[in-house]
Amino acid sequence: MAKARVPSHDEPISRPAGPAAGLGLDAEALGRLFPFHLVLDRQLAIRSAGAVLQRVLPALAPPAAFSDHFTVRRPALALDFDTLAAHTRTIFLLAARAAPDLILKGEMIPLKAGAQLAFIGTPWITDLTALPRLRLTASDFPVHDSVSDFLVLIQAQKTALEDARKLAEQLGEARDAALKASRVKSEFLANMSHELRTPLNAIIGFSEMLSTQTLGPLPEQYHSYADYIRSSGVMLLDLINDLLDLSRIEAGQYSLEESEVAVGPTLSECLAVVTTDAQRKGLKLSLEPGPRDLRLRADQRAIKQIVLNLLSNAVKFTERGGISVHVEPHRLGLDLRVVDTGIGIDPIIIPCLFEPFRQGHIGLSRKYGGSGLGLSICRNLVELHGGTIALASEPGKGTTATVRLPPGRIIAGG
Amino acid sequence: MYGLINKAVHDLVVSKFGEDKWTEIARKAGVTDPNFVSMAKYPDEVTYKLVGAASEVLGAPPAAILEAFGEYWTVYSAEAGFGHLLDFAGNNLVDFLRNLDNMHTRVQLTFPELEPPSFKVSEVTDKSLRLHYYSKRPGLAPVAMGMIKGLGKRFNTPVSISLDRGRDNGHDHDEFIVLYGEGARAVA
Repeated sequence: MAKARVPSHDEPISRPAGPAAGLGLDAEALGRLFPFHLVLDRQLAIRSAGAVLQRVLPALAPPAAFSDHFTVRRPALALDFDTLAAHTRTIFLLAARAAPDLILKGEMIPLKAGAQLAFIGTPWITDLTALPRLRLTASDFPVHDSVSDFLVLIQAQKTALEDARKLAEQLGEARDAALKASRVKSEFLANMSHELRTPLNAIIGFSEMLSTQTLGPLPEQYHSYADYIRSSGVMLLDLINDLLDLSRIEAGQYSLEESEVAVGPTLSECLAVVTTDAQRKGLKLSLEPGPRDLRLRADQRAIKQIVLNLLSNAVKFTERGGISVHVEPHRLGLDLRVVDTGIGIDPIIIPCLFEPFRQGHIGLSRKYGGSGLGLSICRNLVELHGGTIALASEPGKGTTATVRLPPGRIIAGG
Repeated sequence: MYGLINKAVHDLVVSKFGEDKWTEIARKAGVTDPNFVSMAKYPDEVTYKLVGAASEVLGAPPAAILEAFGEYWTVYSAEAGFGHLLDFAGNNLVDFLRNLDNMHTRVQLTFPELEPPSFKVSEVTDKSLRLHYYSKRPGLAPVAMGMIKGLGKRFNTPVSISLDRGRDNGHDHDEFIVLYGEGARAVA
């Protein structure tokens, strides 16, 4: 099928001959269709102007000089008839001298075989507040004119932006309130944990005296009760210490006390702490401490807490085999790995394990005890050192916990 | 209906009866997120449920709630940023009502899913006019009546409006007789 030919940009569009070429419009119909028009003669005198334009610009009485009432803002050109007439199909912006808000956007159309020039245009309004200043209402615009549609669109856009701004403000306020509530909670916990520890120390201390029969022998049953009191007290104290640490970290009150930490001896001390429990379960413990003189700039207490936590988890979740600790300095820093042959973890729940209070949620704490805060505390302490912590595991195939500290932490032996 | 309408219902209830009543109404209507987005479309059902719940909670017939909403809408839409557009639609009651249908058609360009009512004005004198109201939604004639009252306040003109013929009586649209200015004063 032959394609219809499209007229080029400069080619006049073919028009039907006869009266239909002028649409047969009378002056009234023309005035209604183009209420902002101007007709200029060869001297650029305004021969006629649209009724609404004359109402908005009362001083505009034909045959006034075009240049007394308007400036041509665009395009840049010399103000003479032939130049204007040569710029057909060009967007003209005319600024009214008497009304700074009134810019007319339109085009020049030669009339009467080049004896006159019509400007057909409409107010170029981008700000709704200009309307009352210009005393324009919808009735002033011809129905075919899209300015009114455009005004609705502008307002809708403004409303949408205002909505978005308000919603963002509400979200921000809700976020601030949530953060504040969380901070207040952490501060409360930090204070309460301290208050809780004080009486517990008395309970543990005195029950230990009873348990060890410091002041003389106790009936057998009382002796075992005293043991229960002491061991329960110690468990409770561990929990409270975890809570205290976490709440201090969350409240931003935990600051590292950095010193030189000798890696090998520190890890040995940690292993010694879990040796009794490991031996009771028949587990083998081993350490590959890396270079002998390996030293870090770190918070020794925090490093011990991290490693002890990983080790006690490993002992807790391993029934057969053993636990090994590996130290490996490399280009990206220092890796401390705790590898066990325990029950392993479903990889899906690994991310949950670093979230505080989540262990209970996934049902581990009931079976294995513990606050569920240990790994969260570990992650926070590692991150305070600028490091990362990761778990790799498969159910039934053991778990590897890797703490990576940045190279800047290595003082010697790296 | 666009969120702007539901926001207006929210503002009307809160400004006249307080936030607690709104919370009760929203809960009864099953509205879980009361942060309506003006330019988002919501099912008509949401608005109808809000009106039903407001009627129950405030102990007023639905028609009274709808009429109060219509009156409030002229105030709210102006405050919600559309005041200049209302000015643009006309600076007196008759011009405004004459332009109202065109204005709704233009608004449709921006809100393509809008299904606005249609208004026609006939038998205009300097005291009265007949307003024809077409809507595909049932039962909203009281909104139009409230809106005319709100416009009377906007243009500082007393108005008196009565339903002359309604869809309830088998017509395809509602027709109101609107007395305004001297015409309204004469019946006051």
